[in-house]
Amino acid sequence: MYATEAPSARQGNHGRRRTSTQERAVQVRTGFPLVGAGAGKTSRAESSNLGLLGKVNWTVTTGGRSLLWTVLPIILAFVVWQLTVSVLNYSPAILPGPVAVLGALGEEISDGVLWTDLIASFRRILIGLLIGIPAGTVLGLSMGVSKYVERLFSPLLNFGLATPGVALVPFAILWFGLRDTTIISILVIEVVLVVMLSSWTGVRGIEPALVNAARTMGVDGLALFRRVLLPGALISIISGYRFAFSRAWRLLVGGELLVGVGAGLGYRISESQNSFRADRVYVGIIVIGIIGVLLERVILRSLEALTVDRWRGTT
Amino acid sequence: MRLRGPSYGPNRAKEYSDDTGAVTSGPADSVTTEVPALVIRDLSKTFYTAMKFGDRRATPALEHIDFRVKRGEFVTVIGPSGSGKSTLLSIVAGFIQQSSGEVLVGGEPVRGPGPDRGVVFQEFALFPWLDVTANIRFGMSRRRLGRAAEMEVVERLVKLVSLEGFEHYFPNRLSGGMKQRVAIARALAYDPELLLMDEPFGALDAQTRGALQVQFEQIWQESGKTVLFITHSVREAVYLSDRVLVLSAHPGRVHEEVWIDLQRPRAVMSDAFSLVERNVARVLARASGMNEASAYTSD
Repeated sequence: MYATEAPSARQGNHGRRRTSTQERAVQVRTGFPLVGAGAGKTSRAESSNLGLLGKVNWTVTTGGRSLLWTVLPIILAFVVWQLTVSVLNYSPAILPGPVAVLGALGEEISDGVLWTDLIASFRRILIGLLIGIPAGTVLGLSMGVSKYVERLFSPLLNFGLATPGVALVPFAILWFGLRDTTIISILVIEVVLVVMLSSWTGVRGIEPALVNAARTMGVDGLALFRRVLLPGALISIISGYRFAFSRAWRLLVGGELLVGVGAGLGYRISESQNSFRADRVYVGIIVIGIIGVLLERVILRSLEALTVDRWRGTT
Repeated sequence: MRLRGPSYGPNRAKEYSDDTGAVTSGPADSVTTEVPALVIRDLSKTFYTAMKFGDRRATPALEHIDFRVKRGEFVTVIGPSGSGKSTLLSIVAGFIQQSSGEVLVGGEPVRGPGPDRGVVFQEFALFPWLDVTANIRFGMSRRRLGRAAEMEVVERLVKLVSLEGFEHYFPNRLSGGMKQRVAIARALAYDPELLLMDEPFGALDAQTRGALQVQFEQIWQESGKTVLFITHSVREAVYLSDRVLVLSAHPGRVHEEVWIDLQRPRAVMSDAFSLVERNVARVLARASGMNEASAYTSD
């Protein structure tokens, strides 16, 4: 009886290949793409050897999206944008067309403004994360480990999370004036709060049976923290870092708009608006969006894929 | 045909006098002076629930539990829900504290969880961030064997639970039955004297469950461990145990003790087996306050 179970599972690698054809058969029949981790894995493997001119697998949408579906919506958006400009004939001072905006982007690249802004913004967010992430992780983990720390901080944490970060800008200006420190300080607060929450809930969410199992094996105290609590909370902690980044990125732009510190992607938008350069306002928005997507989806997501995705799932 | 252990009879507690619970004299077992693997003496546990105005409501879960388990013996605790089976196991494991009474493991009173007892949980409790090998090795560092010897033990255990080829799989890619086999290997790896198993096969489908029962009986015989086993299934209890303790509920008490005198390996389909199984089912029905007729429909 037992022998019937092992061989079927032992074929793990081949088994998956077979399911992929089954999945495709299901897709063809129903017309719906399969959603789920398994489906994502197969589609990524298959779309990699698809040429653009070859047979396009239209049903594959989960996980590894085909290049076509990444590019198509963007092209469509540009077409609609251009059509709106041509048909409605607005003044370029209000609604410049995509061509004009691309021109302004080229201008910002060649006169170096874009690089100055990027460096200024990145410096702020980097300092914010470098201070906020360790502080938030330590605070959140200690909340997860100690009941007293938890009771002490959880009302404050709830208060902080309910308060929008931008609301702190005037307060930060009072303290630090119109300086870099002002923006960095609100970024730090935002990052600390988000990371605290995810580290805390990460520890709280560990199955009690895992802790009990470790303790019967004589693993307790600091070793329990290092070998069970920390790795057990890691999924939550790392997704907290991702979330902290995206919240900080938003807040950075808001802070730069309000604090006017001479350089930065957000600052450039408000400066362009003041000097009636609508095309540059649009450049600012697009650049901020693209960088946000790139950092979050490409860099931070692959960090996750490298670490916790291997064992994510069931215990 | 009694294979293991003496019959202590209803007054067995009186046969022991010294504090360690060592067997100094006994009618059927007068030669040995070994310390029992587990002694439970007048154990009670009451849970308190906080009520309004600072009141608390007392719920007795276990009352005057009294038994002992010889080295190498396989004892199963069975009983209706509410009989405190899992509470009993958690107390022996050291996860919760008894309200009164004594628990001695290898002659030593239990103070919290410790590596003299290995626990196998119904929900497996494997570390998802460690592969099969690392899960099995988790508790071994304290044995200070050195890496090479450790890996040798792991290899032997992997073979024992038939998981060759899966050494570097993470738990999320294993089936329920395989996960529980990893958990059993992990509990054996740091060589505890006593194995505590809380409905270990309860989360598995019937076929896997049957297969694991067969395999676990062999593992138990090879390892020579003492086992305290909790289950709902009468057939599982009769198949595996030397002795079955039937608890009654509200509060949990030892209702009756049944020796399983069947030769191993036991044939589930044999008449002798069915007879014992029906007998235990009848005892369980009585302990549950049920109509005895309903006993025959249970598994």
